[in-house]
Amino acid sequence: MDEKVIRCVIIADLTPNTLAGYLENDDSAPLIRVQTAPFNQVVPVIMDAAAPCWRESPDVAIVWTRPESVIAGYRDLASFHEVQTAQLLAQVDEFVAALAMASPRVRHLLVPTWVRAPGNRGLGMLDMKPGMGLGHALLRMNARLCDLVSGIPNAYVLDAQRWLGLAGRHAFSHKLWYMAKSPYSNEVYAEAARDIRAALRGLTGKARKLAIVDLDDTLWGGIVGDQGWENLRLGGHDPVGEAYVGFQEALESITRRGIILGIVSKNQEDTALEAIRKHPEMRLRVEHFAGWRINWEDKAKNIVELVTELRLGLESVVFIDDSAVERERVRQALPGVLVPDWPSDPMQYRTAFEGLSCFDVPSVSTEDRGRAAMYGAEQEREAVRAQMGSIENWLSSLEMTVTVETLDAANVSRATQLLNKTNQMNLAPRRMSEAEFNAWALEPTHRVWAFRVADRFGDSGLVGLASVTVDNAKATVVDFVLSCRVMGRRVEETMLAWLVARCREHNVQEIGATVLRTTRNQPCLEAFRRSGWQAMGETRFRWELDQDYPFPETVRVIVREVAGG
Amino acid sequence: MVSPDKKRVANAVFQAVAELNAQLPKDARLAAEPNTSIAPGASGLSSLHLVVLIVATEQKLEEEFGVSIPIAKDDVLSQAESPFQTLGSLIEFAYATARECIDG
Repeated sequence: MDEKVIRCVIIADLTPNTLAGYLENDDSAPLIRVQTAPFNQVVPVIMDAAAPCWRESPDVAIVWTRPESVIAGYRDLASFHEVQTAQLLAQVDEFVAALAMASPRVRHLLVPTWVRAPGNRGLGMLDMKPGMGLGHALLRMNARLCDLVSGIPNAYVLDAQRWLGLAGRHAFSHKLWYMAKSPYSNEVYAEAARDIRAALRGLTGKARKLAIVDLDDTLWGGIVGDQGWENLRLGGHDPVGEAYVGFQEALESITRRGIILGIVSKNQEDTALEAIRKHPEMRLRVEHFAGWRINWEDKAKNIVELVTELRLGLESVVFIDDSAVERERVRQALPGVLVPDWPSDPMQYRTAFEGLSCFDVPSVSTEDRGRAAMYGAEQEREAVRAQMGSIENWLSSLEMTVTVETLDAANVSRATQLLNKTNQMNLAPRRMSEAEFNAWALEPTHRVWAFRVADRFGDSGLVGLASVTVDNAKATVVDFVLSCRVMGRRVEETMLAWLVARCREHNVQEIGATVLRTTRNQPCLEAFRRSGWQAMGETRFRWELDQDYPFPETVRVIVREVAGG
Repeated sequence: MVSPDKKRVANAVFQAVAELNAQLPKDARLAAEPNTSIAPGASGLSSLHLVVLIVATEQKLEEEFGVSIPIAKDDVLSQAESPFQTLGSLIEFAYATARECIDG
């Protein structure tokens, strides 16, 4: 599904053409081609594997329904008949059971929540009363929908109520419904398309990972070099000062979902860092930032340098700056960087930031939550590297451990995330859903191992993945994936040594690997060229298993639960 | 409530056109000009697109003038000489309807 057109089927009990139009005719990634299932045939279509809409093996299905259409009890309740909550929930269960039948036919299934016309007051003051009110019923139905859909590995619920809220009082139109069987205004469909596109970017590993921010009039009010940190507008009994603090709080929050922060600012570095360290109202401190370039150089140049230092791609970056001139400079010089328009009013900063749809991911792992700390540990490692003489001395000083695990329920989510997000050290990039990867790993001739890396500075978490297919005496490496965070520390050689050792135990005589070249995986090709494996041309490598492949001396290997491996 | 003038009515129509264009392939997008055809079939628009355009125009007019200005009426849609032939005729019809609604 990576770097190609995503095929999407919309199955709905409303006319889906407007949504389809927004999805297909937007130039931003990913490109989407839509086909629509017959109007108002939702349950028959999702239960019928032979329905025409499944023939082209769509990548994604969007099942968008109206509650009165698919939940009979809700329809009765809307007419003020008495309906027990348990009856409603049982009907939701049936609907989700049908969704579960359709889920294996696509890689991803997206299900908007149920909504009602904002103008429908239902029972007014009784509308939230259990067993009576439409509002209460809808809350319970949606909660049940979310709970049950979370049990379908490739399915996600999208919040349609937010789309109606953003569209305002014209969100729902009876006129459009009567004339076109399409109940929502253009704004609702536009927001839906935006969320769907964001979800698909996340599911294909294209979410942004690094937010780079300016300092003066972006993180705080005022020019620190002119005013001094004591006189910045930040916090206090001041609405604008509070707004800057609010924006910083929003930035700090996203570090706990795996986004890292950086600074690119035209300032004196020592002056700016002093402000970050000393100002009592700062929410973001030095340790929150994975890196910075604070100088008087061109910001585009600084962004490239910082991204290179952090071993990320420009496509990972969001750049936030109050200056329209700087934003335009970065847009023109670095088209891969997302540079959102930014409000001139600091009190709108937090709203603008929280509305960005570029950070959506299908899961948040333990590694994600600790990523900012990992980059802090990396800064410490680099400081030690600068003090140590040789690379071997430095590697020895790290006291590295690599823990090898087989794929299991506890690590498959993170392993799939790694498979889908890693571009540089990736032998032959392939994008799979969690369910697909798990199923692939269970094939009798397939073997998958995950690698966790830790050292005395911290735990980098699950950062490596290797898999092989075994055909009699020959093994072929299918995945060789390593996070850029730990590249160049002999983890690559440890993984290769592990593959050789495990294949020897299975009486395999030869193991081969072919690097499928992309625009970004040159580091993987270089790693194989350095590995000592025999080159069989530009991109093919092999190791004959009558020879050992030594484990690096600077790495201690720990094996965990490899009985099935 | 604000008295209508044709320029503001035209702006409302063109805002609705911009919304519709975001749903259309690049080569099918409507030029924001009075002589642009919007008749289903001949213009490349479907009847659904026309409904979306007209209802969006109603919404923009209401936002502009603060009062409901219904132009998507059944008797109008079924007229032999529909006012929904070009953007220009849509603007004229919307302007006349707005004047009726606002000025009486």
